[in-house]
Amino acid sequence: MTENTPDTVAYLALGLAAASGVFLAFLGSMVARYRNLQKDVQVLEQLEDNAG
Amino acid sequence: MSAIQDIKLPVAEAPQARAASRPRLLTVLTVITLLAALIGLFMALFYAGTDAAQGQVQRIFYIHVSSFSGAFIAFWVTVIGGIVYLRTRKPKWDTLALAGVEVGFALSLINLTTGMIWARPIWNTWWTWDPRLTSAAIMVLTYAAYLMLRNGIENAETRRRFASVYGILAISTVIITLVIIRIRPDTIHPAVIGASPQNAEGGFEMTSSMRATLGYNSAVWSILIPATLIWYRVRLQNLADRVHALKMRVMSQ
Repeated sequence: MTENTPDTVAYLALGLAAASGVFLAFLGSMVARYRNLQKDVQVLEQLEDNAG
Repeated sequence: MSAIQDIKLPVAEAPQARAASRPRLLTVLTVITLLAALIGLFMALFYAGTDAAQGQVQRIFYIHVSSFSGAFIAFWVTVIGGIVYLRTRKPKWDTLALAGVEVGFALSLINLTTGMIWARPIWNTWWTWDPRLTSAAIMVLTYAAYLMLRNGIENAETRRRFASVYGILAISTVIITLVIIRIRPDTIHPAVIGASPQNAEGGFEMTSSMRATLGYNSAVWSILIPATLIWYRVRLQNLADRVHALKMRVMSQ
């Protein structure tokens, strides 16, 4: 590196944070949807058993 | 679904045997993907040399380029899923196509946001209506529209047919985004692989450590990450289909 190299480490940190944020938001949305669906399955199976 | 969710039943009473368990191969793939991604991040931050002209922010390129590679593969999975669905009419191929779109959409959002953040210190702006940036934005919006329009179609067969055709046609936005820096001389977006356009700003010469880091990260983001995420998304959709089928059965009783 030369003395003229700009200090852009803050933008690197921001970029990593943004990439992690998008990635985690996508993973979080999948986990949340999966949990909700599993709860639905449990309730529906219980209803089906009760009706049967 | 909210009316059903309001019914309070103890979770412990639910038949646990019916809960879908995660295949061993998926667990192994998840661990390998996580380790490979962490190694890639380590290489990007500590192994690859620092660009003298741009400083540390140039390291964003290892994620920026690799995430586009991953989105590119995921969107092609959608094309394959769409084509095979239209030929066979088996819903599992439509499920694969949907998974490809969601994963590709998430990866292209990473590509877009990291690109904007890199552009701020290098181009002195967060965004400019450059041909490459414009085509990338159109690509992201095209796939966002896929997800919205798909949810708006009630009939399952119509929805799958529409989504398959849309997914096949939408790949044109990905191809245009990929090649536009080669065919539009007025773009300022640099080409990482091959010669940059004449007006490009922010290009850099790659050393061997940079090439190795970019190659490694591109492989991880193009193969392991899309494969793992698509698999999870397919499982999620299978569960959603199971809930739908159960709901129909319960309602018919």
